Formats: sequence, C-alpha cells, structure tokens
Amino acid sequence: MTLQRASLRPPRISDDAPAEDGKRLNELAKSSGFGISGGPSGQEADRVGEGARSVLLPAQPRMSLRDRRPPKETRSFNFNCKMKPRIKDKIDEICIARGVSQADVIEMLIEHYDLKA
Amino acid sequence: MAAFIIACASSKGGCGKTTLAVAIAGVYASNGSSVLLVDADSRKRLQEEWYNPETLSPKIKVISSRVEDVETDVSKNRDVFDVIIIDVEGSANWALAQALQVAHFSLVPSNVSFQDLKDAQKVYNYVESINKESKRYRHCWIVWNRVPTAIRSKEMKATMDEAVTSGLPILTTIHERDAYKAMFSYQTTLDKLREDEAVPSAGKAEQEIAILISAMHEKLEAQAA
Ligand SMILES: Nc1ncnc2c1ncn2[C@@H]1O[C@H](COP(=O)(O)OP(=O)(O)OP(=O)(O)O)[C@@H](O)[C@H]1O
Ligand SMILES: [Mg+2]
Repeated sequence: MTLQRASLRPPRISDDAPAEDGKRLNELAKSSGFGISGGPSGQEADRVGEGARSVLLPAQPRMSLRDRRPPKETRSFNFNCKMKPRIKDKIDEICIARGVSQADVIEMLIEHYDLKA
Repeated sequence: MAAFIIACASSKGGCGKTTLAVAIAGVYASNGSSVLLVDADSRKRLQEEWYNPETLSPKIKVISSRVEDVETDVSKNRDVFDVIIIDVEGSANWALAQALQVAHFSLVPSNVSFQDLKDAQKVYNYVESINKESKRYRHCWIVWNRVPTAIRSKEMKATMDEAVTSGLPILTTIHERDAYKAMFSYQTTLDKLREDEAVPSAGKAEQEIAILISAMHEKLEAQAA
C-alpha cells in the first residue's frame, strides 16, 4: 500500500483564527495545576478537567486479573516456519494497514478457512 | 497561511513524545514540508543529542524553548514553517499547558498500560476543558505506542478495549521497532534509515507514521466540515 504524497502535505491553516482570551486560558492552566516552575511528573494535573469518563470506571465491570490472564498455552507462540519474504512483507503490510497483530491476521485467516470448509 | 502546529504531549515521562515528534518531522520533511521542532524539554535532548545539520534534511530545524517562552517561540515561527512540532518534557509543567493551548493537534503517546493511559486521559480531559473555554477547537488524540508487532497479550487487548469503552479517542498504533531508536543513534530520520537500509524496520515505521499523519489530516478535515 502506498500513500498518496498529497495526503502527507500539512493542511493549510488560515491566519484568521478566532481571537482568543489568552488570559482566561492561562488562568485555566494555573487552576488546573500546571506550574511555571515545572515539577515532577503528573500528580499536580490530577485536578484537571472532567472530559472523558475515568478509565478506572469503565461502563462494564472490570475483568478480574485472573480473567484477563490468558490460558497458559495461548500466551505466546512461535510460528516455526520459514516464509517467503514476499509473504512476510504482505503480512506486515496488512498488520500496518489494519493496525492488527500478526496473530490477529492468522486468526482472520482461520475464520476465513472455517467459513469455506 | 500559517503552520500546522502539533504538540507531542503527555505529563508521563518516557511514553514516546520525542520519538514521535522526530518520526513525524522526518516524514513531513521527506514529503517536501519545512518543519520546525520546538524542544521544550529543559534537558534539550533533541537539540543536543539528535539534531545534526550534517545528517538531517535542511527542511528540518530545531530550536530549544524555555518553559515560559513556548508560545512566543511558536508564534514567531508560524509564518516561516509548514509544520511546527512541539516536544515537551514529561511533567505537568507550564510548557505542556502552553503546547496544548497553542497546538491545533495534540498527540498523546501512551504505552498500552493503565498507568500511561491515566496520564493520557488527564491531558485529554484538560484539552476538552480548554475547548469549552475557547472558540477554537483543539484536537487531542491518543496514540498507542510500543505495541509489539507479533502478538498482543490478553491484558493488552483488554486495556485497548477499555480505553475505547471509556470514550478516549485513539488515533493510531505505533509498534515497537528498532528504527525508532535508530533515529537517535544515527541522528537521522526514518526515510534516510530506509534508503541506507540501516535498519530493516525503517520502511514499516515510515509507513505507520504516514498513516498517522493522514489520520490527523482526516480528523482536521472532518472537524472543519
Ligand atoms: N515505538 C517505539 N519503538 C521502540 N522504542 C521506542 C518507541 N517509542 C519510544 N521508544 C523508546 O522509549 C524510550 C523513551 O522514548 P522517548 O524519549 O521518545 O519518550 P519521551 O516521552 O520523550 O520521554 P521524556 O518524557 O523523558 O521526554 C526511548 O528509549 C525510545 O527509544
Ligand atoms: Mg522527550
């Protein structure tokens, strides 16, 4: 898959962006705990905003750690085979384009195979 | 017309802000855009450890910016470059606040772990609170970083799913690749690593960064429409 060069040109941003109340935004930054002097990672920004729901309060109950842990035999596997470079490259291409892992590609293949069988 | 301003931002240290900033700068530059990297990290690592005019495209420039000067330094260069990328240090400092304020698009790299994700969420929530106060809309998207190429554990998949369930916007996935590290050991960009066949994963890294860039442009267009 090759990307269009044109899509890699940055968007043209118009100069006439709406005037901003810089002071107000600076106040917001201060009241949200961002310090001029900087500081150690994180803690201060805890008070920040209320946009997305907390990742700690998901819609569904969290899986217990035991449930999250995959059965031992599926934790990792090795495909003990040699592939033609062309095939390996194709698999990589699919992984990148779809944002999936190699294991996912194999799973997709098997689903496809099962459907045909 | 003015520069497209990107912030690689998180209050979490070591999540991949600098790596992402450099990778994106390289892909923009190799596709013909002029890029300014604003190093807002007081350790000046971009400036001192990566930037080398002898090995880098003349399309890329780096300046160091003091915490309190980020906004001014960006404003001064708006009309000079096609793209400005701000790299902040991993703390909730003033430079991070300024970067989020001035950028059109904030990218928050996050490893697939709850600790990283919680920091990413704070940044996202803060940008949302700016959006409520401001007439200008700012994009803020999380980018999964250092995802293994071969297999994703159940824990990893669960974390990725839960981020989506929690309403966090995920832009794309960046994998764990040597090419990202090699940009620093060779003081160069992904396109050069690919051309020199220095690292096998350079071409793939370049491709996934190109996908990330196109995704940013798509989000901007969708918002503008
Ligand atoms: N996708 C990746 N593949 C391989 N290594 C990576 C990747 N992303 C980041 N790293 C490595 O992780 C480490 C931290 O990355 P980086 O310096 O970019 O993080 P940072 O967020 O800028 O850190 P800081 O908060 O200290 O500025 C580096 O050693 C880098 O090489
Ligand atoms: Mg950094």
